Amino acid sequence: MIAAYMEELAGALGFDPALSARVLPEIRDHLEDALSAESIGDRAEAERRVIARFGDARELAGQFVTISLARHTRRASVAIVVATLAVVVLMKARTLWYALAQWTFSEEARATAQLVLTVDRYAFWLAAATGIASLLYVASYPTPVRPHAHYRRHLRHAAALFAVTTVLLGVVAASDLVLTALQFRPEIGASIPVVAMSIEIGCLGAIALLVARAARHAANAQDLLRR
Amino acid sequence: MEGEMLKGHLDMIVLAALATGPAHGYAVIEEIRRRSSEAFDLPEGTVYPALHRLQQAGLLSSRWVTAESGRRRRVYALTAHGTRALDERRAVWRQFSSAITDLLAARRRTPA
Repeated sequence: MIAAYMEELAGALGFDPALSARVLPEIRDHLEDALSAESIGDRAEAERRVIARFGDARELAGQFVTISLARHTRRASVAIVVATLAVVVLMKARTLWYALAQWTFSEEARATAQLVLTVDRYAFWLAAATGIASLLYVASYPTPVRPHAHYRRHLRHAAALFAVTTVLLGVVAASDLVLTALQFRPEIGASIPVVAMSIEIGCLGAIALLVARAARHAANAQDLLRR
Repeated sequence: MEGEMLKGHLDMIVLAALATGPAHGYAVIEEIRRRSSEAFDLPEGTVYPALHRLQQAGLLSSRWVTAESGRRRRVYALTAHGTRALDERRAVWRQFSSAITDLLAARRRTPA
């Protein structure tokens, strides 16, 4: 009976496999302790009493939903700030390398470069501001017991901040790509800005994946609550 | 005691149960039951989401230990932040409890 209960709980916690792996051994341990404390007699009856005292598996899994949502949201907000910092480092490294290698824009490209540089700068500062805002916003909300309407609204706002930051970082990466292309010279050392650009695009891709995963996770958790 | 009333104070109850020292989930429930003289009768599973939520908030820490029986157990302990939070909640509760007691003690005046 305990095995069947554990199976049901594992299924109900399927919306977050990492959380499930952390929680299940603890609960199995608890049920074994509770069973040992039961008076000697009919084992099936003792297991039934232990499970009845522990509570419904689906109801229990539902109580882990907000914990899981909070963990995914916090992870996404930290990743966004880390990615923004990585973009700063890569931008600075590339600028330094351009100066050392004496890469400059041609006369014809100068006006375009100036426009793209302005877009790049504003998009970056806006991304940094929304990224930090999302981190503070997410950290400011303590994990509630239940995903009540106010918490769901908080999650929607956090998701909107993540989406805006990701789009802005996308604009930054695209601008950086254009700026690199405008002054690119296929000579020795040219691989350095190309590698830096690849890392920047990789960071952006990782962020987009993480945000999409957090959104998918939130949808799965909502499904569990509706069932 | 009313389940919903208990659930509203579950975090404080769990923190208070851990005030005497680190414990694993089963021991936390036993401690709650013992110190409440069996008055608190929540589904036992309810304590686990509370433990994880409190750990996420930085009020508890946890580590796996191997018991004498050879079984591995996750043991929770109050962090410094958790101890401060419990002190604050204790103070708020005393104030609240005293106010409610005074309020309930008032009886209807009988007309002269």
